[in-house]
Amino acid sequence: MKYLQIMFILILLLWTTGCDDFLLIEEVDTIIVFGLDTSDKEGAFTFFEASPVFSETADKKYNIKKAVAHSAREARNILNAQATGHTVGGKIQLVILGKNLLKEKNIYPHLDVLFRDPKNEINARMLVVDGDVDQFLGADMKDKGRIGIVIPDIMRTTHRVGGTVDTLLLDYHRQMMDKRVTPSMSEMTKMEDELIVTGTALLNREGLYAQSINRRESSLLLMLQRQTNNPLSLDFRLPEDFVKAENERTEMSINIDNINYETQVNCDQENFELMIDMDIKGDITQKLFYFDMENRKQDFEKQLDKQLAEDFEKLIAKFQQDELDPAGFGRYAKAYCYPQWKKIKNDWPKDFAKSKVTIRPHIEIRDYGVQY
Amino acid sequence: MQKYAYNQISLMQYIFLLYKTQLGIGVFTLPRIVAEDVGHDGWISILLGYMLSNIVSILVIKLMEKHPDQTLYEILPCFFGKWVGNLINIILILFTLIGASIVIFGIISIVQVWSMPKSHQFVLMLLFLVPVYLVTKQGVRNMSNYAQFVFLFTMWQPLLIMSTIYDAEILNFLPIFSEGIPHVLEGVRGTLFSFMGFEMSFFLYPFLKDKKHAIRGVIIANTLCLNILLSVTLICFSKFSQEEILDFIWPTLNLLKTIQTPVLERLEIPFLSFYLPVVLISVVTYLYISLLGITTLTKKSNHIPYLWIVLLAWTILSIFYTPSINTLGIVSDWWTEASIYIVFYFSVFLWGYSLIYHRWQKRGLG
Repeated sequence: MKYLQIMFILILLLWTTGCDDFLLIEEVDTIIVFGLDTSDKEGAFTFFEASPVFSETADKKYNIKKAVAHSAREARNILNAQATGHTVGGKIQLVILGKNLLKEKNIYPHLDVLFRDPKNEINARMLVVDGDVDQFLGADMKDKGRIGIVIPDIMRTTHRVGGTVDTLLLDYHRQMMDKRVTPSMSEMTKMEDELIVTGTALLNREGLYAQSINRRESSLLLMLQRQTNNPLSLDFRLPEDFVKAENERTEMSINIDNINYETQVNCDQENFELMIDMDIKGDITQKLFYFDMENRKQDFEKQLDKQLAEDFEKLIAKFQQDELDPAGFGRYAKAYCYPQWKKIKNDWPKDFAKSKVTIRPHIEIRDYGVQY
Repeated sequence: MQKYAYNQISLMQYIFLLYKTQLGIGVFTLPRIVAEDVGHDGWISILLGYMLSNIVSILVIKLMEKHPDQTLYEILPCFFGKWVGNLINIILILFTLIGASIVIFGIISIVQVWSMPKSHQFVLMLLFLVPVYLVTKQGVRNMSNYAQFVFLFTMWQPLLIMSTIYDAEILNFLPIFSEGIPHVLEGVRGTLFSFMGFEMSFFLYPFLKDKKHAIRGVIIANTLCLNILLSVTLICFSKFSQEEILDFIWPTLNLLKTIQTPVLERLEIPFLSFYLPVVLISVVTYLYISLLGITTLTKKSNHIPYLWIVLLAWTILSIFYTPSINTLGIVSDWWTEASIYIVFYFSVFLWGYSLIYHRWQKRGLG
């Protein structure tokens, strides 16, 4: 009986697939970058795939393939015909979208394959390129390294100082599905031979490109989104008569590392009203002028509050003009004004354009460095 | 008549066996099911489902206390006479057997989708049946030891789920009772499937050595189960928007997919692999209970021949028939519907009946 049992187990082990199905890394075409842009053909897109090359005989460290196809799976079939090895999609680090494409089409349905197949990585970063994806990927990378590593690194470092949002593929999925926000993602462009983050691209409810905001406005957006895990750097230019500048420089910067939010919501009015108080703790990192901080700190903070409030007001007006809610104010609307929300939930951004949002920053300067 | 004394289990083993039987494949889909039924107030339904399960568990134990040496299979013919009692027994046997089949075919399809798309169902079935056979063969005490081992072995899993809590959005839970309390009550029905397993007390109670603390044991098991179900649901709701949860078939696994570590990716695969022993306990318990019914019905003492028949039937079925996700969903919906009648309504009815029965018997004797 014992013998039979052992035999039975051995027979079962024969069935295990284990080690006969293995892949050598040299023979694998690992996709690091997945790109999408317009094409000349009606109804089709240009698909890009960049993968690192491990072969010692090859000169370039990475290889970029492109194909014109109607869907990602169709493109994969074309690209497989060019690949030197088995194509693997589980390591995608970056999804690049052309701005021209986003202006015309909602690409969310076309990325379906990335979400549906559990083998694909959904922690890839999303990027909008101002210009041609083909040219962008063709940038000279001799002094930088592999494209699939370098670009996410640039985006991450820019996000860390508050220059852009950090939208992963799964965040994009959430933003597209969620009725309370509109999508936003990092935007880059190619300047001569350098790749540079220009700020954040904002998409509307339909998933089409609506407008871009610059790096400073992105910092403000991050503050509204409450994504302030990293210290944000904000630059200010104070009015000259306030500073009484002798050397005509009025620029200064502060580092923000802690914000407390207090929100008041008013649902009684016809339009939704929101007031957010931000208690901001910041350190001065640069100040190109002398100011009597010892006695007039209060005035100084008030001036910064005023300027910051104006900036927020302008930014929100900019959002409302195109019916965008990248900061997710809809969350407050749903949470605090549910009866009203139920009526408007399918086109919240339209209603947001009519809402009144007031941001009241209260900056408290904690630290000046080693000099006044 | 201490028929089950040879296989006695301690309170600890009893708790873990019940708890791990309850944790089946329900934990993967529960956040979506409550989101579908109730919306963002779904977690309250889970709490209510827990309370309901506790009440019924206590009634079950109260009923069993009067028959400490009998399983439900022996009690029913006493209560209702031979024919009706055995008819209900057959229904119970089918119910537990179908339950075990749903769980094993369900977990195979999940494993196929998430981690082993190229392996044939038959191969996975054969591999899963090895531990199922070895554990079920030895009876209740061995099953309980296995459950205890699995509990220790998978202690890190709740921690991994907890680690996804960063970036939680509290506003997702507001407003509470958005659609009114009746709406939340309607959703309780959908959560009961995940608590199913405590009804095993009907059959495991005679094996329990420390019968005084049976109620405490069953409540602890329910609470451990609630802990997992509630934390998974709360984290899913705080990380995903309602629209997004409805888009995921298994939100819990999607939740694990969001974990980012510098080297490791796709942590849901090791999670799923280590979760298999947990799921197999559900299979083993339901399977054993149905075999216990068959042996009681046929008055045999050995359940192993029947075990072979079931395992063989599963293997053959897995060669010729691959259930789709939809079929599995429909079958488990039926089973859930049936379990609400069999476990909840029938337990309460039986408890009421037993009160009348015992009073009547006393009077008859007096």
